[in-house]
Amino acid sequence: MAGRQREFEQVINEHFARIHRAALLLTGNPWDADDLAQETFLVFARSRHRFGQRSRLYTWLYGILLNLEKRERRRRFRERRRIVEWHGRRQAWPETEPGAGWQLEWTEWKQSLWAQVATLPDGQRHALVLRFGEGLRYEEIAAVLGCPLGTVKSRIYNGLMALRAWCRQNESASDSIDFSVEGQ
Amino acid sequence: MQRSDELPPDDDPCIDAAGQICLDAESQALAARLAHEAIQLADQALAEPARKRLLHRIASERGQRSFLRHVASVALCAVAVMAGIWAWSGTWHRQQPAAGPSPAPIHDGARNSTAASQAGEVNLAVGPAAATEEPWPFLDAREDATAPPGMANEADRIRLLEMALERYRAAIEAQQQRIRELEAEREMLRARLAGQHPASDARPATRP
Repeated sequence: MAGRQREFEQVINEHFARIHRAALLLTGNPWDADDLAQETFLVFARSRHRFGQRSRLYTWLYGILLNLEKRERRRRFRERRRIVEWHGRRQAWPETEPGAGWQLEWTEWKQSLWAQVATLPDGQRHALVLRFGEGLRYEEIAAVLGCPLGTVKSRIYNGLMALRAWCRQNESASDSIDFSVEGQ
Repeated sequence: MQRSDELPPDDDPCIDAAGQICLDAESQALAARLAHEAIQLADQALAEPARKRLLHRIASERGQRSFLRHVASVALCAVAVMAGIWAWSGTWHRQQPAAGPSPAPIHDGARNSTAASQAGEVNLAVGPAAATEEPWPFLDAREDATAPPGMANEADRIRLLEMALERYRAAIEAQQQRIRELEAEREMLRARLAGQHPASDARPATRP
């Protein structure tokens, strides 16, 4: 019992930082990232007997993290939708992907490109976080997401294209503002 | 939002012949910016306090679990002890009459019935033991007749059945004898009662 406990603490010490970093990129604030990372390891503690050593441990942890995060986004999305329906202000709520507007107060994150990544579909979002936030190889991402390698590449490419489109649109908007200011 | 996640890789223009993603300079710059911002964000949000909180939480949960396990084991031991005491007391109560002195006989049967009747007492004991001091023969006879250990011979069984029948008859005879004795006792008591009140039906004279 004590040996397993020590082993579990060793896993925490070894992998907590990277799981917390990924949670931070996904959630957008340190508080939710703390909860999510802790929950990931608690789920791991309850189900570690199912880890079959077929993959690396951290890829398995990433899988738990992404599933928890997806579930949390859906829960928050349902919560917000229920609140909007109760207050009868459905028209004021933009029709977006689940949880696209739930990022919170962390200014640094909101000003970064990761805030735009959070508006992408789950598959692209997870692939971008694992690739550019965590530096995983495509094969590892495919193992975490449970999809073919080509799908991973496709998701990353399409995610980058969506970000490029947003950047261009943003730049042109700022240009037009600058132009109008100069015009006056 | 475009949802082209499930495109087959062969048909996707982003994959080259070597299986690598074709990123132009702008996309590469975007990827580099993502990686750089990820490092910056991770530097600002420290994971160390959260890790310590997690370890503390796990330790406290483990403490709770061990406490509950301890309580459960104590409760289990208490239940086991109670069950043992209950079983032992039941056994003791069953064994107590055999181990102790034999209880006083409820009645003395036919042997003392005459003496009791002579002393003016009524012996109302009924049943086989009241008629005879011999044990009630029926069960023994049946068992002897039907379950002879190691005896499968028909002649032996017939002999045993005859013995059993004989014991039945003797018991019935004893019962009938007992009935006769009780009837005689009853008649004697009636006669004695009639002798004590010979003019119970005569009316006393009310007027001189």
